[in-house]
Amino acid sequence: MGAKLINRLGEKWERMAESHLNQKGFKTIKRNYYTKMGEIDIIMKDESGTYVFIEVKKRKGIAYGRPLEYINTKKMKKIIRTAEQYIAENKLHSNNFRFDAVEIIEWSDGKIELNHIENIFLD
Amino acid sequence: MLAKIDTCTLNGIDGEKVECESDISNGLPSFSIVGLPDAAVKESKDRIRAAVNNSGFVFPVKRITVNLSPASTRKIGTHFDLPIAAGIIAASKRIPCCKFDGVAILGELSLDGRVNRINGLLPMLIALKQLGVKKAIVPYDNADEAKYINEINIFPAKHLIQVMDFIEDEETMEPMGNSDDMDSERPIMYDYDFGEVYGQENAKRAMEISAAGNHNLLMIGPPGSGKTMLAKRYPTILPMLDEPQALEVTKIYSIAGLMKKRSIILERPFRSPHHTLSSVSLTGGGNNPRPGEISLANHGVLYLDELPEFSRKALEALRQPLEDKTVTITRVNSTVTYPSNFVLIASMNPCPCGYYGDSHHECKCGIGDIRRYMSRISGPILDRMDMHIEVPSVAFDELNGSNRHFRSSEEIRRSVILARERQKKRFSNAKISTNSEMDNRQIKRYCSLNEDSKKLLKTAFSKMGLSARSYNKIVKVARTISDIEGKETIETNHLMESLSYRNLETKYWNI
Repeated sequence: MGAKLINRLGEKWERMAESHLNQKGFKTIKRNYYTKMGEIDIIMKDESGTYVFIEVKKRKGIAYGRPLEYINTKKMKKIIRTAEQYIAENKLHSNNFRFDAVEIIEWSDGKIELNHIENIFLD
Repeated sequence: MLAKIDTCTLNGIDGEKVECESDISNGLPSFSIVGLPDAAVKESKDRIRAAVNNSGFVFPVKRITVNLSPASTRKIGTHFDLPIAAGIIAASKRIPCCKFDGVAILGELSLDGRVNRINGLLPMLIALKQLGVKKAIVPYDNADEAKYINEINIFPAKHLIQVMDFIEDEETMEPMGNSDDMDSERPIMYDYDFGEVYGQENAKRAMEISAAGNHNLLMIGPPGSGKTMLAKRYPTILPMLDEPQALEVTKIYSIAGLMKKRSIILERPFRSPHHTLSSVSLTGGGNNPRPGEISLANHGVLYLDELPEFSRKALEALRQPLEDKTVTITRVNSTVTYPSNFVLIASMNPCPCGYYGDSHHECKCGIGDIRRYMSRISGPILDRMDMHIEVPSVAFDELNGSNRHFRSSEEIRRSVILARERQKKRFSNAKISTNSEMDNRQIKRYCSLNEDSKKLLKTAFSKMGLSARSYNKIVKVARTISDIEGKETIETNHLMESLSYRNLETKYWNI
């Protein structure tokens, strides 16, 4: 229930991130993959065939920190576990994987800043 | 893709070969190091990642597993950075394994990819040499330590890029030249000389004997009489280390990280730890055992100033190493043995105020205070000191008046070296080189006494209440005295002099 509500709010920004990555040559595999332990915003494949799990974070301004700072260890563990679940479900074990983030900042003057950060989880 | 690189780890003062295997496979990105790595080795993960990225290579976003085999021995140290990083780069670039055959890599990485100095390079290279490794890449900063190791080509590296270039094409680096001629490092100049010490002829004589036969020496005297001054000059009368000894000492200093850009240590170590030291820093120890002061003083001198101020625990810990000349440290993780073949020179005051028995000052201590103070030196420790001497305060005339010539360090050293050569010749078939190391059988064989001496010793034995150990020590010291004089046998006057170095126990401890 709650997840769906949040999703409606985030959908606009997730679409924006997706189209940005599509332009970069990423192909969308799945949007909003839900499990009991968490969700992955977008699952894509980059040009080299690596599966990329993407987390989109959006904030208005950076008064409370940059959007990326809101991806903490708890969130990271959630995403990794969800990704493992996806890999197991689809039997993708022999592929390459990566975790990326897209941070979107909506500045007070209405300008939108979008950053794509590759490989956010190092271990 | 897999890469295998030889490297090394330390167990005590000896190295053990370690194979560093790096595997890169598909899967969720991860980086794990297995094979009992210590905390410092686990930390290397972060250094490696930064160093690889900052050197223009790409750190693979894949599943990376590094194994340090044999996986059962604990790996300590930072020198695994370079082989792990090289392995990861090689595995991701698909460089064939055979490129690493016969090459060992040692080195710590800095975040920008520079290769930093490591501890224990010398013992590890010696071990690798014995295991037949022909080429080794070592940090440029302490490549000097490898100067006297032959049969192995040393390639000093400054940067990770240089190492990777070398692996692809060996011509890119020149092996470092080595040398057999340690003598070029001699002579070492000391700032002190025995010629500067006025008076105290008795103490100087005792030091000469102690230096000649490696006998432990205890100096008792009032403050300001020159005990510390004498002790500081003790190393100046010792001969230089010979080659195997120098290598052993250098190994220990290399492990302890005390080399400071030197290639070999040829002078005898002189360690004078402060009296607040703990028993562990004295004997060595810690979770991952490190050599202590007694091992750093190996083949040299351990000087304990103000002996009664040392903690009882520290002093008693000296007992076994003094007898065995090695110390074995056992911890949960490992058991290591370090050599501890040192001469113990100690100095102390005869009472808390320092003036008991002095001719110029009045001692203000009560008899109980003196007893308590002296009892801090336990019987067993006292018994292990071969020679006890008094260092009385010096008279004014002796300090000022004379232009008298006092024997310089060089003169004394010459006589010490002669006496040591005599001992070496005598023990050429045995494993020892000085009189103090003789065991019972050797004492019987080399220290025969004439009838007069035997009688004298018998009287002394009962009158002075000597122990069996002190009996042996007296004979050994007598042997050294006769060596200094160039005599073949121990004569009665040698024995009498030797006995005179044991009579303070009655004066200071039995009051």
